[in-house]
Amino acid sequence: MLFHTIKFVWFFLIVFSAYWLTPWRQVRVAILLAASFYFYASWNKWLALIVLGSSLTDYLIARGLESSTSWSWRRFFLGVSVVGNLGLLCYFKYANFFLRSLEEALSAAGGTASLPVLSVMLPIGISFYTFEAISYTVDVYRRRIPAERNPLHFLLFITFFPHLVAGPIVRARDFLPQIRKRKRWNWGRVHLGVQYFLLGLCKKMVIADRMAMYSDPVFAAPDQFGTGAVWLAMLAYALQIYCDFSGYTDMALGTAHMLGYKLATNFNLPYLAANVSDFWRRWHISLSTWLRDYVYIPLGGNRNSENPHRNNLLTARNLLITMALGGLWHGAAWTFVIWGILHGSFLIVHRTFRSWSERHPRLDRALKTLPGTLLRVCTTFLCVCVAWVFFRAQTLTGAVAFVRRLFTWQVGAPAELTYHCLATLGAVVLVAHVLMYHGFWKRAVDRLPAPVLGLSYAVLATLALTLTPETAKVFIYFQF
Amino acid sequence: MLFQGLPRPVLGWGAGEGRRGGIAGSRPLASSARTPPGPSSRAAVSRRGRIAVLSGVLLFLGSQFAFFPLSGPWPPMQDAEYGHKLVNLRKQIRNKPSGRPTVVMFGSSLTGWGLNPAAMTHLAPGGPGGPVVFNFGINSSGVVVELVCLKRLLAEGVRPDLVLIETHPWFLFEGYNHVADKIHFLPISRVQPRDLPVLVRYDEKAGRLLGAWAEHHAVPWYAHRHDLQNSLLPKWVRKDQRTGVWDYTDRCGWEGALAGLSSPLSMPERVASARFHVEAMNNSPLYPDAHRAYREIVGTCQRAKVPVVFVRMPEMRVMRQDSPQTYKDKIERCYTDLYHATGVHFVDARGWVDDVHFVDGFHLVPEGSVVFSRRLEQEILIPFVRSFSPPG
Repeated sequence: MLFHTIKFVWFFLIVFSAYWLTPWRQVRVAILLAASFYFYASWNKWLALIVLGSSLTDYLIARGLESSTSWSWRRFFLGVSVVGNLGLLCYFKYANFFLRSLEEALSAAGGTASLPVLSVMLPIGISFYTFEAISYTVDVYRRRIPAERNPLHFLLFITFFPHLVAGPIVRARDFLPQIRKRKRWNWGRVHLGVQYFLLGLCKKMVIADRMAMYSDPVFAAPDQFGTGAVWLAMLAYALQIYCDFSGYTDMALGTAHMLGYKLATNFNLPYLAANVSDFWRRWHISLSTWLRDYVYIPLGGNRNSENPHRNNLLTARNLLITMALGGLWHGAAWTFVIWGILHGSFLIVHRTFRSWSERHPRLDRALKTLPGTLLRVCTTFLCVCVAWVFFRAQTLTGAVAFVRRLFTWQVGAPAELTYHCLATLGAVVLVAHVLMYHGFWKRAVDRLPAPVLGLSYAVLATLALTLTPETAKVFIYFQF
Repeated sequence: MLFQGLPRPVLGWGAGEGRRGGIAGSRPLASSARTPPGPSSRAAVSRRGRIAVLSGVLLFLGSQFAFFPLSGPWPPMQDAEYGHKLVNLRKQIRNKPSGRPTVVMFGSSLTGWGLNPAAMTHLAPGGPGGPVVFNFGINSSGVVVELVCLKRLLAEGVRPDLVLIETHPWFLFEGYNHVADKIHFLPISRVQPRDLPVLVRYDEKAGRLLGAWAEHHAVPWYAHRHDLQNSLLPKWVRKDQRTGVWDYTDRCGWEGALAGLSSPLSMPERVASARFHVEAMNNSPLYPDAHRAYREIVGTCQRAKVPVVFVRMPEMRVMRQDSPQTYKDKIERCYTDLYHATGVHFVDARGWVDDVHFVDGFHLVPEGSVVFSRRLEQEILIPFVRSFSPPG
């Protein structure tokens, strides 16, 4: 059940009505819980049992962690939770990848091995809910939050349908207090939810799905296309993935707001980032903060040694490991690992360049002027786009062929769609970025008369429905 | 550095992005700290929210209901292929001098590709005293679609002086009239509210048809997006998904440019294709509603006082001569029954065009359409025009 389908609209209207018509808090929790399981089971009811089983296990482990005073027991409980969640993730998502990689490594070394291929179905959203569960038990272990006593509340934290299948990755300390809080009907909140939802709907239906029509054929067979078409496909994919994922997140935030819940912000105009480090403060924020708190800092972060040289080396190592794991989190393929390593390398280069430019004040000042900032934004965008090629390509060979066509002139088939469409939608995204950066959206919402706002919502929704392509596509992050 | 100083996830309050800080290491491009004036009290925010949401929902629902009245002045919004033909037909009728008759031929792609009014020698468009001959062939359609188009046209206030109805054997067989997601060859997205009373009479499961139509048209802007995009933003649609038949259609409705794009099959392939379809039709039971639909077409024309003629479309020789006797008997019995029931004459054009002028055994190449159209002119249209006297 996708957010931008009629089926979801009916589902949400029923849940929304039942939820707000019920005066009892616990019944509301039960309604949301039932709705969340129905939502998940609409893909596969058996896989919903896995979410239920793993969540209940984490609930019990956290209770054990809290009640135990022995460090060895606490470590044991934590280990069981982390190994259990990662084991689940590895089995369903990575088992075949590891087996295949092992087989390829053995054959490259001259050996022969025929390892079995597991016939497993990837439970949708498993990367998100396992990370949420891990962060919860680690936070309980670190005594940053108390263990949740009400199992229904804990289950709702993990399975709340707006964030269940593609994030944002919520933290227990943000979400659990909201469940306990009494909710009161608030038109302002519903209004906000509608705004978020509409914005997400337009991003997904008008831009992301249209851009997919450009990028899909080129990524499927880059060898057949010319350099111009390959550049267009790369730019189209950059627009597609941003509008697809941030569109999903906006819709998730919107539905959550309409039910009285706030989810973490996941995007903040990422393509206006002036360096790759800044990009990661703006792109998939809930994942980057998770990686920071549970991987990068435990590895030592950027404070590893008194010796600056050694510190730099260890920080670079930590960045590479963190980003490679971040890449692997997205999917069981070497293309994702390369994507992560590329970003890790960009971060190291940026870190080195920054400390170098700080020693050259004139350059530093020049880079901070408007033209310097524009140059940095464009360079960052280009780096991010090239990295997207590895993220999107089906195989490493395909990615390399794509990049080769990007940077050497090749003749081939032209792009499938016209430049007009890409230029129009690209301009829409750019203008929207600039307007939002200047706070125009907020000002417009505050100043426009309410009926005019209503009219603009109706027009936006109708436009989104009219301009969406004939073939709707699943959200990209559903596969992760 | 990546994670240094990264803020905790912010719980947003305010739609969209872009409210947290500027571009790293740059001077702010604008003062984002300035608080815009606006409603401050909770009650005011709540009231604004209520009015904005409710008016938005009402206007959205209103825009959905308004789709059908809005699409009235521009017919392609609801059914692009039909709509574009209607627009062209109206233009032809508007530009014709008074006293000239209007002849419309309904049918499938066989008509669409086959009838080329511009190729007629005496009655070509623009000629003195000739009729407006218009090709209303709708691709992939059947007899029920012919009926639907006729009824739509009369409801639009277009009253032809002569109606020609394409007949082809495959309209008569069950297997050629039920396609999975189509109702008698008309995709549900193109079914208009006024078609439903006709279509329910020809569907065994009328309830299912109405349910599917209601589900599909609950959000009409969404249901008709393909046609809208194809008409208004054709360059935004991928080439393989473009259905701009009208781009290949001339002002008289002939889809010659489309026919010209198709490369004809080799003669053995054409013969094989014709034989395949004869075999399939011979093995298929008769479609009983075909007879009823033809009778309803005649009844509708009679009520509108419009003369009607059936045209048996050109076929390759193999279909007439080499096909099994049982198949021939079935077809002849159907047409004889139809003649006895309606009294409407059949023009037998099966042998008018030589085998070399077929694309695939059924559809005519542009040269074939010239042969067919000129013969139709001689056999039907010139006698009709000679005997025509304007009503009133």
